[in-house]
Amino acid sequence: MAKQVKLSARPRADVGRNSVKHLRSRGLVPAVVYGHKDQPANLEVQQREISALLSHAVGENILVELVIADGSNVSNKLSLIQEVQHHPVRGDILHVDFLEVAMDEVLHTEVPIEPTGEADGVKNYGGLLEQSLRSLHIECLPKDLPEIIRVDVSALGLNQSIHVRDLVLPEGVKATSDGDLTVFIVAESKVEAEPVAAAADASKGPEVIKEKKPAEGEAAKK
Amino acid sequence: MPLMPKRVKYRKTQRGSRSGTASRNINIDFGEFGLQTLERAWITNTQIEAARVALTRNMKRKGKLWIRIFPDKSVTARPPETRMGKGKGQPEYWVATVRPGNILFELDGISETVARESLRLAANKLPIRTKFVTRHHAS
Repeated sequence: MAKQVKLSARPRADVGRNSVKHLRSRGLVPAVVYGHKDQPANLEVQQREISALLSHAVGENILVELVIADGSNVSNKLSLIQEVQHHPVRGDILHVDFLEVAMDEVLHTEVPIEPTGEADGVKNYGGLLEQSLRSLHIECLPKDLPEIIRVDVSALGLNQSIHVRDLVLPEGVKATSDGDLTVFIVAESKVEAEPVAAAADASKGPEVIKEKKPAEGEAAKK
Repeated sequence: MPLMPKRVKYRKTQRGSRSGTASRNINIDFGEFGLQTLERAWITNTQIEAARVALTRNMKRKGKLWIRIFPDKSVTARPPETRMGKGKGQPEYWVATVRPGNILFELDGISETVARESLRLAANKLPIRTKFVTRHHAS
């Protein structure tokens, strides 16, 4: 089951690129909470807190109890981390989306899939374990939400595969992805052939779709 | 065969902009390990090919490789000792535009040690600074 942690947040009035830039320079991260029949609300959370929360988690599927302090009013909202935006190079957290959920309502989300053990086809026959599906769409109650789905692949022989319908899910969790989707397959290692035959065409360059053709009049004059 | 498009609409392209950080092709989507660029550059088809050869040799043909960039932009050059004028030169080679954050290569089916060493060797063939990233710490 996904762990449930508390995270303090404050309502945010600053919106727009420049305001948010100043916010980030003060060590805060802009966030938004939406869902469960409430109006979306802009929030700000401490960069240190959210980074620590994410770095200690296996996936980004974490149930968060948001403690929103607006002056003297304090309200709690149970939510799921829906999306985390990172800086493409530095990896800093730029923005967080929280999806408000209710403990007694079924939620739909994606959970990462991870293989455990070494497949027989890889160990003894030199195959390659390919993971076609990295995350699984599931539906469950928030209390049953798994952080990650671990699949034992040790019995998988060469050219054998595991499909979504074969997965053993924790109690209360139902997969909504298509049952025929392949999750893991042990494929034979392919030796990549060097493309030699087409080398002669390389000097010509690619075919041009919109190449200019000589006008009929010009051709006639010549 | 060098990497280049099979068909193009126009043979010659304008230089375009390389400003900003990458917004697409920034996540590890296929493999477990990847090589991320920290600088902006035009990566030529020969550089990509050299990096690919270095990677596959060190991986000893095990595992799986994805090349996430493709040189679809032609670069023209003028013949040496040519007077100015007489129009734009002829296409000489093909490049892929990369911005900081772009994932260049992805690997799967090998250990992290082998992946690190393979990508280090591949990075030596490229004209830019790069970073080794894994799926769980890509961002």
